[in-house]
Amino acid sequence: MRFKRIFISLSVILALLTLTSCKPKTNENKKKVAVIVKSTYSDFWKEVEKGVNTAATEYNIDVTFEGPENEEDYITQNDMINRAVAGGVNAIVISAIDYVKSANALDAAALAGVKILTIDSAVESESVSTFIGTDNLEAGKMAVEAAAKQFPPDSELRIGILGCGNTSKNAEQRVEGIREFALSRGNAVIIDEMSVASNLESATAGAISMLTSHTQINIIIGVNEWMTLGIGNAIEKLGLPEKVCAIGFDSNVDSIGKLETGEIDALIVQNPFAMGYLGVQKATELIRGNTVESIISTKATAIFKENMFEESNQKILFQFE
Amino acid sequence: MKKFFNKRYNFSTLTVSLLAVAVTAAVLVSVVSFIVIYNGSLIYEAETDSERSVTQTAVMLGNYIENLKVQIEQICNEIEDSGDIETANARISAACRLRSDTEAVVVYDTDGKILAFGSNGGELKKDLSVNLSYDKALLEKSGDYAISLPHVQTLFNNRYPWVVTIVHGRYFDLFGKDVYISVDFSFSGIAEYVDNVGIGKHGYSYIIDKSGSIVYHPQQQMIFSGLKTEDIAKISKMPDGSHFDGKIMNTLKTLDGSSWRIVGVADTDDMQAIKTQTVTSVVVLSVICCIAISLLSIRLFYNIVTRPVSKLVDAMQSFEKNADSFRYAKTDDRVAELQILSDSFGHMVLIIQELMEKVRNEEITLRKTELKALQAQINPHFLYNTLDSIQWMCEQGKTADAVNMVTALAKLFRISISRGKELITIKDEMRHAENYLIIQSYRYKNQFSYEFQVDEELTDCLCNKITVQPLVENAIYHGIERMVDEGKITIRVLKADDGDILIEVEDNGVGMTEEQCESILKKDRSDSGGIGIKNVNDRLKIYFGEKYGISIKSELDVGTKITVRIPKIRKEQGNEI
Repeated sequence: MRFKRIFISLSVILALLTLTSCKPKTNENKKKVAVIVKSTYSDFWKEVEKGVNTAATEYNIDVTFEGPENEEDYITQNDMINRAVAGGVNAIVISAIDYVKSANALDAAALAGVKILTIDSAVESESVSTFIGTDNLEAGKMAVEAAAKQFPPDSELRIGILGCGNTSKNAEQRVEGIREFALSRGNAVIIDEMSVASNLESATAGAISMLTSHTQINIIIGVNEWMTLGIGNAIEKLGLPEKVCAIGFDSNVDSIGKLETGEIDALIVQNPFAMGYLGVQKATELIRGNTVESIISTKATAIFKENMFEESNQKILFQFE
Repeated sequence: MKKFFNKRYNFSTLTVSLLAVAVTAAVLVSVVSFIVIYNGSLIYEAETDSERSVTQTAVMLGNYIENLKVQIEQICNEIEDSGDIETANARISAACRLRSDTEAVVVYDTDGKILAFGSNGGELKKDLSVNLSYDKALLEKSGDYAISLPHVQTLFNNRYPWVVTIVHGRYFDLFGKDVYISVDFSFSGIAEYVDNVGIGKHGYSYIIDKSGSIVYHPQQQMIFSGLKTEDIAKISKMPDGSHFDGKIMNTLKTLDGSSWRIVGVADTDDMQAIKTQTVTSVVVLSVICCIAISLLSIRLFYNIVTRPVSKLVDAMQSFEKNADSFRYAKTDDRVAELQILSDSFGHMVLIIQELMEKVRNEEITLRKTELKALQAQINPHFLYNTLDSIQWMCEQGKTADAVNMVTALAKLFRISISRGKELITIKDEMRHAENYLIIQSYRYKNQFSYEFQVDEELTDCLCNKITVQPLVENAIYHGIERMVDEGKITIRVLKADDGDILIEVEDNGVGMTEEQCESILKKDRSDSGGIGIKNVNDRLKIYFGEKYGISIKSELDVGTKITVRIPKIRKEQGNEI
């Protein structure tokens, strides 16, 4: 009978409605994101961690934040990746020590359904969904420009670059940026390129050796926080603040102090808080199934002694407790 | 549209669709009104929420600043009590150490020269060319107290905390002139006060300066990093109070005795999002309830109205198709009107059936009367011819034949009249036919012979009066008369296999075509008087039913056989009919 059929189908629809309306009430599991960085000690990474935590609170995400003891230890980083995957994370946000050697571990993680995001330093892998960080080629260029400002227009720029090993993509790109821009300027030459381990002692020793063996160098650029501090130390030790223009990356109290006192002439300050925050925010979006742009650039700013206390630069340079 | 209204609907579809429309309308209206009311209450809620929170923040911040002023007052007392600057510095430092949020105290003269200094540990930098804690404009502005925007403190080597500077100008005996006491308070102190005041779940409040810069924001770092912006230019122009722009509720309040304003932000979208789940479940639940209720009522309506009506419609249709055997079962309806309709229909059916029966009976009676009148008639031609023959016989002196003929004629009439009875025994009927044949055999001398083959068992059974004679007449006129040779008529009475009686009249005459056979069963006899074969057939059917009657089998030049089928009725039973 027709009416009966209508009645039955309506009842079935009703039952389904009731069922579906119950569905959203079941609690969603809290998503897990593992943030793996190069080290947890420097001010840079502490800022990243603040960003990570801010985003984690805002998006109600379980985050872990860890990094190896020293910034060369890609093996520990790979262990961390594997442990995170085994722990069932939904996404990994990584700043890779090695551009190549973490690719396999990340590919395996991606196969297990984990979303992979890189911040600060990229990885050579197809499984990476996005890179969030400074445009490092541009930052390298910015460093040269900052140095050039310290000299009269036509003077010769004799550049020494203090790198931190060539395995990390961001340092490599900065060096590349410096090199490219130096070559495009008629008045710049690169006198020396040195690569040391990413810690304060090696950086100081490296800078001293570079400045003593190539006395013609009038610009020295350190590609990360440790290199910058090492250069500052070396210049202080060798008494060269007037003679050598020192350009560094990132900021901490020591390098800011040296900027104020003149051992360091300019700092290219990145936005580590934004990297951490965006890392977790974009991870959340990927977990939710949204797409995310493949490259998200965060701002870098060149800060000199003259403008370091300008209101806008205070906000960039000095950490907010 | 016209088509839509002109279309014919059936009752149950109409019921269901009307109810569906009603339910949908009800649900829509309730959902819309719910959302409107809910939105209104949401905005109201957001407004009260943020106003309360902002007031709370204002009170707390006010207290905090009062507290700071008290502290400055204490520091001033310490300075006042000191005999010399050395002691003053030591006492100030001690006061600083007492409270962790006091970063430094500096006493400037009106030219900006440092007269006294205390901190909780730091050494003053040698080069103080950049001193963000010293703002001449702020100092001069301060009649009594003034608060700076947050800034980085630059008094110490390698130490850059974020502070706000509170300046207080007054005269000291110790310095012998008007000085400014400038105290740097750690910014985190204020932060704690503001951070702890949330509005709703996602609302927050922040502090702006009258000049339109952010003093403190709970997401200060997000703002510093450029990840979040507030439309300060617009908000700083708003007067105190709540402002709703359709999405975000901004509540402003100026802090008493200061240039700070507190801005409370409540995002109604967020509040909606939080409550959407509740609202959704309420709406879904009510929709489900509505549908369930309407389903039940449809079901109920169907049971007590639609179904009885459909049943009645069905009953009427089947009554229309088969009025005779229709039986209307009484219903028990819960709707009074339907019960009346149903009862009336039941009565009507009975009355109609009675009327039909009556009409039918009347028709039969009429027919019977008609036929009876017909039977009683004597075919005048036949009578005339017979009498003519008798006269002729008498004239010829064939007295014996004349006597025979007169006897036969007399007998014929006697059976014909037979006291008005319709049914007579087969024996009498055969006699009647025989007498007729006797008479006719005189008229058609030597043209035919006849023979009776009667099952003796059946002679006492009844049959209609004047059944066989018309058949014999037909056999003579249409079969034998036109023959050259002598014809033969055979009359048989026999039992059929199913117990009925068959009376056959067979001749070997010229026979008939099929059309002729059919026409004699259909047409009343056109010639005057007498009973035609159609009449015989009609009579049989009226008396015994459709099953009975006459069938004709004929072949040209071979002969015709007419068979009468009647039920076997014994004489005793016959009285009943």
